[in-house]
Amino acid sequence: MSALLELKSVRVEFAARGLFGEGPRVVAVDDASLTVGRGEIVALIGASGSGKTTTMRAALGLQPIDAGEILLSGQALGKMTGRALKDLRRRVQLIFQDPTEALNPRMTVDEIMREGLSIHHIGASAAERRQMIAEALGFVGLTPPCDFLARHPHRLSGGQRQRVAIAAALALSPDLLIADEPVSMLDPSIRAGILDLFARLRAERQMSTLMVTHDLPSAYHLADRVYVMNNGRIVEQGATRAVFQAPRHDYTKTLIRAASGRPVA
Amino acid sequence: MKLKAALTILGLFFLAALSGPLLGLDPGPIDVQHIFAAPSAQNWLGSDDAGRDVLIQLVIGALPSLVVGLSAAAVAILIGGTVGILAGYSRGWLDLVLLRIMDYFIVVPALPFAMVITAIWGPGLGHMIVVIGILLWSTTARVVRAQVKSGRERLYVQRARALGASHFHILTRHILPQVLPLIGTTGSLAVALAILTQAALEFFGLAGTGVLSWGTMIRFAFQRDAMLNDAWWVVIPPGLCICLVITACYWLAQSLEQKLNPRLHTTDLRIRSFALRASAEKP
Repeated sequence: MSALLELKSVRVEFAARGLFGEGPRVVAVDDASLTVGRGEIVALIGASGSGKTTTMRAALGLQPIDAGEILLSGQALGKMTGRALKDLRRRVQLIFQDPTEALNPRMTVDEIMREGLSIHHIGASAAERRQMIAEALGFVGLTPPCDFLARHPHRLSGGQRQRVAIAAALALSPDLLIADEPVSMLDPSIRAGILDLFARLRAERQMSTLMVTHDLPSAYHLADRVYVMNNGRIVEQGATRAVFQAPRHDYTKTLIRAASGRPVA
Repeated sequence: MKLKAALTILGLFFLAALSGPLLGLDPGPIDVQHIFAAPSAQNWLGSDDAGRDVLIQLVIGALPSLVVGLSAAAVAILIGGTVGILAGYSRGWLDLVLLRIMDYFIVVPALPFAMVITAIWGPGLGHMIVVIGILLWSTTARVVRAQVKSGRERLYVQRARALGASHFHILTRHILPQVLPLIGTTGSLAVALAILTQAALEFFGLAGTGVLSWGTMIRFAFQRDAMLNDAWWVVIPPGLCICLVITACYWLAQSLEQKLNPRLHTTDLRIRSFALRASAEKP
């Protein structure tokens, strides 16, 4: 299987700004390698501050990297310019943790959905775009679409907002969804529905997902493979079940114990 | 309440300003019989140093004051808004350069600068508009820059960038709607300041000849010793008009800010904030 997204020994450093010019450099991501295959759901697990989000931003090209290489379908991200970079922005869609902040409060659902389509000139006519939007909203379960199109985000529930964000990403028919803790801000009762969406996207559209999360149960139920990150390093990787049943690294053991509610040794 | 009062006052002054040229009002010829004549049934606000009707002059004088006030504020907002958005959005060296230019204009003493420039360019309403606009843009620019700077870090702006949106798209669709309310508020303050500065410039005789406005009325009253003749009706009405328009502009700015920034209702800095919160209607 050819890898859709491949990170090779990526390293990201931040310069801490001291009182006198640049201070010591902080390594946020150190020698991180990961791959996401076509139609695969991969989870990146780790505690807060372990470098998950930085890795994700680097994979999108939103964060400059200091070493290593990022390949998208075999193409190096660093060498992309202009048109290729814009196409990358369509092929890789980002789902944010907090849908309330990620949707412009002044735009209606219709405008939010149309934004991506018009940026990438998808859909030949207004009618075709309307059709695509209705289809995407239908997929995420916001039906009938006409009930939602005229609403502003503040008139939607948290789960509905995240569904709108996912539908907006979906309408562009991307190859890869990168989801940054997509359910951590949501009510537990809504989580299952959103996570189920990612599973359906894979089953029905062969869409790959890289899910960044600190919620172990959701990773366990959804992901094919997991990477565990600690202090900027990927400390463990493998098939979900194998990692969860027989964690090798101490940090993974601690994480799993903590999540299962048993006392940490 | 304040909004209604402000709109009523401004509306009345606009009507007055328009009625001057529309009704072809004329304060009458020079009449030596009525120099500094007291208010009477014919001349409600008395006569000035040339025996001409003060009330009619007041109505005619509203037009240049409002025109200059609005145009100068428009110039200030246009320059200030553009520079502010550019500086706030670009960050880096461009931000730094623009910021220093703004600082430079903020510390320039407004009135002497305006007087020098008008003296060099020569008097005239057009010149006055440009000069006042140049003086006022920097405050708007600073306020807009701060808002844009925080606004561009909002998650939905980052989302648009991750979607592949161009800078133009982000600016027009996401940043501009954020700052428009702010521009409205600073705009009405700019109108007030512009009218005040204009009156001051006119008082110093930089309006040009043949312009009848509130500022020149006060200037002539002062030059011809109206106060020594106990002719308060020549000095007070134009001053009061300037005062009223400026107050109305401030009220407008205040109520706009309250309407557009609901968080103002709940801040701890407000007196009786709890009472206000309890009585505030749900939006």
